[in-house]
Amino acid sequence: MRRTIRVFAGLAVLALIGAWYTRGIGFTSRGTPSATETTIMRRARSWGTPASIRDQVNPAATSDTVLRGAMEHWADHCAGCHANDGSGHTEMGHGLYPKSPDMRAAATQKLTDGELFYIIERGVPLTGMPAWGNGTPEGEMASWELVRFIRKLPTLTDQDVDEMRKLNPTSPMQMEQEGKIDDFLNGKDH
Amino acid sequence: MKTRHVIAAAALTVLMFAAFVSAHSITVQGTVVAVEAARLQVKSVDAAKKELTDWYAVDRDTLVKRGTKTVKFADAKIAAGERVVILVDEHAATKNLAEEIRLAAAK
Repeated sequence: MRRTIRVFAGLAVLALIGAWYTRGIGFTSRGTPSATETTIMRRARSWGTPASIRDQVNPAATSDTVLRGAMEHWADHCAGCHANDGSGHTEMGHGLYPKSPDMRAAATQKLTDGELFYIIERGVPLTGMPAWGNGTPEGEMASWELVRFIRKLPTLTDQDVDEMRKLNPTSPMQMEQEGKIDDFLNGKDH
Repeated sequence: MKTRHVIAAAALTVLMFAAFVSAHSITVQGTVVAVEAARLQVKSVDAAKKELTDWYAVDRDTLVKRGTKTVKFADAKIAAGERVVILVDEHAATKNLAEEIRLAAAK
C-alpha cells in the first residue's frame, strides 16, 4: 500500500514538474530544446535504430545522375524545412521544435548512412520530421539516394543552390511577392 | 512512394503558403546608405510612411542574390544609393539579422 502511495506521489510530482515546465515555456515551439532533452532524444533515436540498418552500406550509386536526381528531390521535398543548402534556415525550419538542424554540421554528418536512411524512412517522433517511407523498394532507393545528397551538403556550391531554388515549390502568393521584389529592384514600382 | 511523396509535397506547399501568409519574415524595401564588412545600413519607409534608417546584420547564412545569382556578401559590390530588399526573420535571436538580401542584376 505504501509503495503504491509512493508511486502515485512520484507521478504527481512529475506531473507538477511537467505542468510547471509547460506553463513556463508558454506551450510554444519557439524555444530550443535543452541539452538534456537533446541528448535523451538523440540517444533514444540511436537506440531505436536497428543495428542491421545502422551498419548497412548505402546501395545507391555515387554517380552524377543519382546526385542530380537526389538534389531535385531534396529541393522539392526537403528544402521547405531544411533549406536548399541544408542549413535549416527557413521560416518553417525556424518555427519547428526542435528547429531544423544544420545538416552540414557534425551532428548530422557523423551519423551513418543507415541512420540517415532510417530517419528519412521512419521520421523522428515529436519533431517536424515526417516518415517518408512507404516500404517499396523504389521509395527506399530514393531515400538512400537522398543520403548520398546529404553527404554532399557541406560542399554545395552557390551555383548548386541557385539551381535548386528554381526547383523549390512556389505558391501563387510567393510568385506575386517575387514579382513585386523584382519590380522594386528594377525601379518598375511606380 | 511517388504518390505519397506527391501528397506530402502538396501538404508542404500548403504549409509553406500558410507560413508565408503569417509573414514570419519581414520584407524591407529600401535604399542602401552604407555597407560594412558584416552589416548593411538601409533607408526605408515603414507601413506608417515614416522614414527609417536601420542597420541589418549579415552572417554566414545570409543569402545574397545579385539578380538571379547567389553571391558572397563581400563580392556583391553593394553600392550606396542602390535599391535593396532585405528579408528579416523577426524571431531570430540577433536583431535585424538579414536572412536574405536581394539586389538588382549587375548592369
